[in-house]
Amino acid sequence: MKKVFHFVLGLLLLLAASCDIVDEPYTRIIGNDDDDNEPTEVVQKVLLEEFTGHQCPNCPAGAQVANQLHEIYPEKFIVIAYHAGWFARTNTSFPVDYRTTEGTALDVYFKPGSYPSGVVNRKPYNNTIILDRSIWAPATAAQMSNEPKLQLQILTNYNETYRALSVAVTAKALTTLDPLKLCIFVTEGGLVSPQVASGGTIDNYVHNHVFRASLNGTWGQNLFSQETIANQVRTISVLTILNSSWNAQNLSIVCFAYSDVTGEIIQVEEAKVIE
Amino acid sequence: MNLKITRIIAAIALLLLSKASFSQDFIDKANISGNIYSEASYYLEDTLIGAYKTRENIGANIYGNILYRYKGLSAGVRYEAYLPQLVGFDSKFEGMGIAHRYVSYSDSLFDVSIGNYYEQFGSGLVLRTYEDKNLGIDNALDGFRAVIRPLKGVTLKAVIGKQRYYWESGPGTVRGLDAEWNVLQLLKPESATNILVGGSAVSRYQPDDDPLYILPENVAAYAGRMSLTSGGFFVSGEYAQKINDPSATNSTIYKSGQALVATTSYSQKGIGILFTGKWVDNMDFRSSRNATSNDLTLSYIPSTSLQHTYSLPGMYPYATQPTGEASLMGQVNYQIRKNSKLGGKYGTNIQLSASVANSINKQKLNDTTEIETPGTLGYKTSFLSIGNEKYFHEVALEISRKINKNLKTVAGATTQFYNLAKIQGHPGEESVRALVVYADVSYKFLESQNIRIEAQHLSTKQDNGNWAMLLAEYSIAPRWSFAISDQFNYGNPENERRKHYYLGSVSYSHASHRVSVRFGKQSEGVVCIGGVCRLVPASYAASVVLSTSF
Amino acid sequence: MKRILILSTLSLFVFFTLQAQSTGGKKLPSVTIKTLDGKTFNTTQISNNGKPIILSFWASWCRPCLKEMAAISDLYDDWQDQTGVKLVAVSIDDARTVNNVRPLVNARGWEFEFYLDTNSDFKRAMGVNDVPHTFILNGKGEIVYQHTSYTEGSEKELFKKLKELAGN
Repeated sequence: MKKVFHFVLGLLLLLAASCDIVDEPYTRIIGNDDDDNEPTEVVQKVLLEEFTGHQCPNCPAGAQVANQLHEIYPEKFIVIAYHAGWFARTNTSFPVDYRTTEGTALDVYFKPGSYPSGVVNRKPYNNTIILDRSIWAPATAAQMSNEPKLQLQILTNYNETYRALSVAVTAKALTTLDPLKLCIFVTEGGLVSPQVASGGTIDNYVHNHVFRASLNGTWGQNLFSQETIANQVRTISVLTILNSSWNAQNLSIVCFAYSDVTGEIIQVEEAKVIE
Repeated sequence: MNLKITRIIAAIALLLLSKASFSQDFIDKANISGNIYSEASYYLEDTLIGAYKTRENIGANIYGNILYRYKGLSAGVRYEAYLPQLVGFDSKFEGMGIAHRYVSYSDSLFDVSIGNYYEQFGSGLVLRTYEDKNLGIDNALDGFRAVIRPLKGVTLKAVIGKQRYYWESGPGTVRGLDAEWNVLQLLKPESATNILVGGSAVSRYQPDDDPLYILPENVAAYAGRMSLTSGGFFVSGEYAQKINDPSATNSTIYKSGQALVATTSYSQKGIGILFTGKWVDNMDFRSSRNATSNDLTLSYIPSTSLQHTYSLPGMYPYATQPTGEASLMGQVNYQIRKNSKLGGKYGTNIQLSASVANSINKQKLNDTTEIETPGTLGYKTSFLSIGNEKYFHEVALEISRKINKNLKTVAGATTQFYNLAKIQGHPGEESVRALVVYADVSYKFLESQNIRIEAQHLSTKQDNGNWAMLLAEYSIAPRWSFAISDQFNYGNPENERRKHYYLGSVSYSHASHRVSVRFGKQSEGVVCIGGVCRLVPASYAASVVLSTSF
Repeated sequence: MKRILILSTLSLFVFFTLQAQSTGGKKLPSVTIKTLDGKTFNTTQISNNGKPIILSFWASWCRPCLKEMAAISDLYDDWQDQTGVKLVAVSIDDARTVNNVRPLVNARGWEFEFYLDTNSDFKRAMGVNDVPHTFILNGKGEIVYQHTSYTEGSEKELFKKLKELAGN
């Protein structure tokens, strides 16, 4: 009998040894990531598409994760926030409607089970495409370490009188690629309106990266309709009149190219409408 | 031991070889059992109650188990298909395939299995893998398990594996050990007193690939338990602890976790009394730090409240808040004697139950850090502290009485406080105070026919307001049952949402087979398991359920 | 390869089913459950000295289950006199309600043989989908009948089967 218990005790101790107590500080110390990158060098950027809503209590915590990622990857991390689903519904307390047809279509397509949820470069991480906010950071890090396969450059030209915006996106293949599609989306920051948070409603919450519209449809347009070899270049231009309710100062253009075969995003770029 | 393992390997090898090589015994003397369960719904639309047609129109969940046993050897597979999943189930279920398969060998000393298995250590505070198809939960481990019973009353268990995550495995590897000793089972087998002691340790490995935080890759949890039974008296307790485990459900804080569950009861013919107390502090343990809702749970901390069986008393079900909860429950079952003036010819059963759940007292680490700030220790608390925020309380009384050979009645009332904001995660919403009364009369006639009427009423000024419900059931034993019911949300503050939810059903059962057909509307409801509540959307559907065991 | 393995295992199972069904006489699987006192108990030890057994899966939160047990309890003396039957009641209550079982059955004064199957291992091994689910075992411990669900008066069917057994 005694032997058995010694054996068990030994096993328990063995298990006890296999745990990692982490001491403060818990956050990693981040050096400046961009110091010796030459400006012309193409880097792999990562897009987080976030499904959110102003009635969703955990969504501000999601936005917080996105902000933290911005801090450690200032030039390489881009966010689009789609207000969609049950939590984005409007009522007298939450009167502003941030929902869009494109955002709703993507919400239906990716089927987030809970909010906030995100998609990182539309690639699965641990076999899952739709990710909880706690996993955005490692999924972003994983995508960032990939070799860039495509270069994207955005040129914007905005005429204030007519609210006319022209966007020219130039894509250059750096290697052999699947057929690609390109999406050109408009996002807006600095939007102040009520938001539910874990402690209750925040009346003057600032919504950033809010998806406003696509300039070329939910699923974009063909960039390279066939398999592409390195150094192939193409420029796509669009012209649009901006919606009068948007503040041009706070608008950004986010464009990304995704594989028409796997649906995965291979490169993304962001530019302000007014620099 | 070696011989045993060789035997198992040989048996498995035999199993996988062509059937020609089987000895006849393997086939003739084997036991086969299994079951099939399928539920299919055709969805209709009623936008006013929030019931929508699905794109596919039809949803179907199908499960089939087949188990093979020959002497100590057993093997089984479960096929599952979601074509697509029924409304309210996670869309990650969509698809079909073999969801569960195992081979195991057991005798009086050993029990070893490979493949998928379900296991529970103690009351499940640090490890419980289980399945419940009605809730869409199956977190079986896939790996290896050994159970050894070296002496009568002593059980040792060792497990290793990964948990099921829909059609994949979770990212974390789970290792666990458990020992339990029924002290007197060997020493004094005939003793009326029983003492049980046990301990368990579970550790999870998950790589740290996070660019923001330094995360522990190996997270361990331990638990110790004991119970004592003597005559009608029973007392038991389990205490568990978990080291730093920053996760999706605790907002990435590094505080260690702990939980205590204690129960005592006394019972004799005619009366049973039970008290349960529970204190939980940051004890949500899963095999992935990123898992949410009901995914990949290891700790099982059920709520300390009455489990209701009628619909309106169960409209606001409480679920444990594993990040912090202090709760208490008391329950008395009393039977007024048969053939007494008060008890009537057949006796009368009374059940009185009261429960309460509060927050625990969480204090700021320092003046500048808010409680539960990610990447900190989160908060301070002292063991068994009780916070100011009430989550739930309930006082419930139910009386059931058989009046004569053919007439049975049940009547009950319950008053509840339900912190909607906290439990369902909608901050700012008003807590619900509800009073529910119900009665159930059942009358048997012509030997095997029975009519049962249920009337229920829920009154509250909050949430959706008052509800009334009526149900009538007619059954012909042992095969047929017909029921119609209506739930009417007549007190809804919004006029256009004062809706009737009609439901009709017919079921037929014969031996181990059962078919039931249902048509009607069901209101949006909350299903709670462990610490998480799941919203099941309203539906308007025609459904068929088929269940068979063989 | 994996697919082939699965398919071949499945087809083997089907083959076994067809073969084994013909022979009948299914016995109880060996599963470790607990007594109300917390003692471990192997299900192969369930016996009634050559007399039939009713094996009933139930839960304290399952209303039809309680009705069935109450109904049988009222008739239990008669049934025992006539057939020598014993009722073995296996509760599938989990950690949430398992501690209610003792006070409940004691208060009701039910004199059956009770066991706890806290993680539903026995339930799964018996292929039970939902409770209540009742089996009848003959004197040799072989499963001869099973029934799922309970409607008022269904216990008569059970008794009929028991008498048929006793008549043999």
